[in-house]
Amino acid sequence: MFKVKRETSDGKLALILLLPSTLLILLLIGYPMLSNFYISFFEQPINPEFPAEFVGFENYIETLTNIDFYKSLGITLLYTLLVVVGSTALGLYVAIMFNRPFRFRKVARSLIILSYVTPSISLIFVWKYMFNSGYGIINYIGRDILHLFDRAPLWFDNPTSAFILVVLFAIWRYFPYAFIAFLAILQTISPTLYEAAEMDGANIWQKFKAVTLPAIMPVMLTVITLRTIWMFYMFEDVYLLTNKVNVLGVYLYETAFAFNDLGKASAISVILFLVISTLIIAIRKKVNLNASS
Amino acid sequence: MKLKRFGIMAFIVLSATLIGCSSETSQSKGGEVTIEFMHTSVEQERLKVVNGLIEEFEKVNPDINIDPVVVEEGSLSTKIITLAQASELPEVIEVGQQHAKMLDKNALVDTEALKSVISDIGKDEYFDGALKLVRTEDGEGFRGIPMSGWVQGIWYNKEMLASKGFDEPQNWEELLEVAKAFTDKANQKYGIAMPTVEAGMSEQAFSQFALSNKANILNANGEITLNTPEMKEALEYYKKLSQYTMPGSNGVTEVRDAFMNGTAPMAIYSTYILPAVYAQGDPSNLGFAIPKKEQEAVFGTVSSLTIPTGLKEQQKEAAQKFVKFLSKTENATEWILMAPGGAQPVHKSVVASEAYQSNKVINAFGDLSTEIAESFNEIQVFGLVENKNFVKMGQISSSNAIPIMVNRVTVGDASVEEGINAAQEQLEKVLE
Repeated sequence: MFKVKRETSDGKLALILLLPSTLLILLLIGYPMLSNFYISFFEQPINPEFPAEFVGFENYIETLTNIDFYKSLGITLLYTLLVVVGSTALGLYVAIMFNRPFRFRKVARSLIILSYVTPSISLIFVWKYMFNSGYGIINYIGRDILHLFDRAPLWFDNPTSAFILVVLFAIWRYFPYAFIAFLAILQTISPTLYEAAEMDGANIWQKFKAVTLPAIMPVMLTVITLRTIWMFYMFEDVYLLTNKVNVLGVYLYETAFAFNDLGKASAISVILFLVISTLIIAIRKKVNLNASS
Repeated sequence: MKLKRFGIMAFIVLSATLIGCSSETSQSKGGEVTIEFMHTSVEQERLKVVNGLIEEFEKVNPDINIDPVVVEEGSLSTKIITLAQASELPEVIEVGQQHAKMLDKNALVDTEALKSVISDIGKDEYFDGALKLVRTEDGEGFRGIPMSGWVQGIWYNKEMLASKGFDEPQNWEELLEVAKAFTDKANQKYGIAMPTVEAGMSEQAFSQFALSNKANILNANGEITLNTPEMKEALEYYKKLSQYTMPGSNGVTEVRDAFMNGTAPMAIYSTYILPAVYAQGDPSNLGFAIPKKEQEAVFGTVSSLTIPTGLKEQQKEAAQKFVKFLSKTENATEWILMAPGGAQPVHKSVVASEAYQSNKVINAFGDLSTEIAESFNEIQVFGLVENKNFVKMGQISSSNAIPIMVNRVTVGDASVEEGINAAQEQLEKVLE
């Protein structure tokens, strides 16, 4: 009887303690979301003094019948897939390499996370300098030293090479996030598990599959989910590196701030929300299923 | 009961925190008025100057508080649009031409308030070119109060040109000749560093050639006039000239670097090349030419201060007072000298002032400074036809159709015809 009473009062306390956070979430996330959804049915003028015109589903229909939207969606999905897989795999590989003692481990670890903590704009300038057709180091090595090509390829002007470069940039820039997360969880795995697997005759791959993978699965799920959301909405890295890769972040930005079509931009963001939600649910189901099997 | 009280307390604390977090904007407190001033001087040195001017103003106007809002230039569009949507535009905003047109198109500029400020200061105080750029479409009002400007032209290295027996290129043909003479692609030397990137800089550079061939993008009725023989000729010429520039999409960084490191003896760039030349080169060796065909055309732009609509009388008056204060010769001079050489004066009295004349950077360029200042009166831009400053030019520039056309033709494989047709189609859609 006494136990039940205590549980009830704890529940109330928990609710009260959650109240500020709930209110904050409603204020900072719920309201803008609803407002955005509402605007998506209007032709919204920039001047709030002018009346907004209700256009029903017109913004959605215009977006969904526009070939450029699908091109952009395709590029974004491929970009997201490649960067998420690439940065997660690289992060995991480097974390496994670092999960053992060696000299200067701390220094090396700091160097690894440099690309993640440096502001995007500086890194983008460095990449643009590296690939500059006149004095870029990549062209110097490829053209003047190795003689791989006579004239510098137009790295950021060709849509294919520009796409490859923005993907490589993102993998390099964001793998430290996965690295930190994986290294933390790897350090919690007891060495006795590996010893036991070894006694059973497991090779490196079998040890990874039987011991490492199940242990890191919750972290991997989080890393994949968060990185998918972040990459799907990526704007500044791509926008500043090249004009030839029109990901959805750029498409959305241009609709809202170059063409000032706020209603359509809101409709696009609602569609993106639905796409990314479906994607995340699918990933979670897939990864959970794998984990349980 | 205790828990209930705790809950109420938690709610009150949260509410108080949220209210405390919300920005304190433009409100009157006990006879005082606070107005916001949004500007783009993010650099420490410039920030110091702007803050100093604000302090000065507050000293002589103790009933007005100025709350500075510093915004990086790149995120100005986003800020302006979101703040406008929330009816939270600052009372005074530093804007370029494009933002001024966008605000004007949406009836967010108090053209009457600005007209009254200009009339108080006196139209004669400004160079004609500067005022022309901020006039409203009907020619009656103003979109902003000009504070500084810059002009674009062809900068050349006098010694390098002389080494091959060339003097200042006077027209299209001579320019092509010089560019050709200096191009040695095998050794990565180019005749001219010019913009070809899909960004505003290409539109600005190309517009100078088009306008010198009397090709504007709109006619006096505001109709698109992209597909004309004059425009095609200008684009054909730009394409030809681009054979003598660095490969790929060249933007601000590439053009400036190529000129500064001697890769190219000529560059199409704004007056913002002057501070770099002063710091790293020989100012007396710098020349300034304007491409000429049918006429001379200088591209230029002004940065101005605007006052949005919908302000309370007290805020509007404070904003007007502040803008007038910043436009005073001594203050406008301080403003210009935040980037000496780069930012060009738009006030005649600033050019004549002792502080401006004695500035070491301005002095270093000798007669060139005067030449540049005078060129301000020759300014021509796309969308300015017979003194009619079309507001739809803002949409045309925002669409990026012209830079995309330039990039397709110079960097891509598109022909002039294809480039123009695609841009025409894009612009028709934008202006629908």
